Amino acid sequence: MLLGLSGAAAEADVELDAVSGSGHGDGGVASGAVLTAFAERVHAGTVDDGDRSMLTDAVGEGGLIDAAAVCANFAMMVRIADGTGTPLDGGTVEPSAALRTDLGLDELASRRVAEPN
Amino acid sequence: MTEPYADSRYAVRPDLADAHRRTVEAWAGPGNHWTAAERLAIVSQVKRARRADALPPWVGPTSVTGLIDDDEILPAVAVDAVWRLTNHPGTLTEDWYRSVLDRGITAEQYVELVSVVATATCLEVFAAAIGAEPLPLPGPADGRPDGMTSPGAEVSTHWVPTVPSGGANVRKALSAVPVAVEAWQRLSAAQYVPPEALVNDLAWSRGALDRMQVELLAARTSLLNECFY
Repeated sequence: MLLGLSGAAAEADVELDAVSGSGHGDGGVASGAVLTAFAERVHAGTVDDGDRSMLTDAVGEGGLIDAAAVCANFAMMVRIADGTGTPLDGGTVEPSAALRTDLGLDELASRRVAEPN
Repeated sequence: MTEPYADSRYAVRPDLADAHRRTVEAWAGPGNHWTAAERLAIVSQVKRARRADALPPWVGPTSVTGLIDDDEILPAVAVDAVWRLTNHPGTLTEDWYRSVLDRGITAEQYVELVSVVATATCLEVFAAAIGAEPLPLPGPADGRPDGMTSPGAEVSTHWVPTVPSGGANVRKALSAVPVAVEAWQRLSAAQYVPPEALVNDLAWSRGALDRMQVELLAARTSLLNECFY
């Protein structure tokens, strides 16, 4: 949701397919493919110096630190959300329906029925 | 503690390094529902779970001979919950959560345990991503858990008790336990987007990455973890 909204705010043509993986290109986000590839390696626990060099070439050392921090932050947040049974927010159920279908989110074991609240 | 990530070949922002330092210090102090030694034991189990050969989600490490030390101070239910939360967060169900409570820990203990697991995972992932050693753990501080639970916490929208508020559901997920709230807010503000800019300033940036780049990383990481929320 916030990817789409931030893209709209920047008047950029963001393609949400990029969320599905680095093979989907940049998705309208600067260095998007490099960033998603880095997120995949972080998740797999296989980041090496080559990955870091590729990322610093694209977004600088500060970008590497911030990218690592964002990946780490969402490794935290998914455990908080899934560990506590956090349901979708009432106001996002309908607007995110198409996105959830496109990305296969409704098929996930962590899907929780969203009740208005 | 020495300066965090002093060994890193990449310079870590001072505010980020400080948030990580304070997180480690908080683990080593008594919480609301676990002692300092127990909180550090949770962190240690996160580290072990991440480095162990993968177990299927339904196999608790305490059921595997030799995997958990005989002198482990955490109850078996807590160890099993730590490993499941660490390695298989996308497989959790309400029935599983209820089975954890049935095995003898309270909902408030569980919330605090989720907080420590989540923040420990966070620091482990960050260190690995930049090629640095994880921050060293200090010894446990003295003191007892104060037993504090946030006023008004009750089971309503989440599996766990939460304090009703108008914010996003994930922001109130740990709201029943004050130290748990402090822990994730401290990290999230330094690692992601300050709460005041989350939806009110969609162009907010620290400078190195623009907001779309941040949100792409956030969305990809969440999907990799099979997180529905």
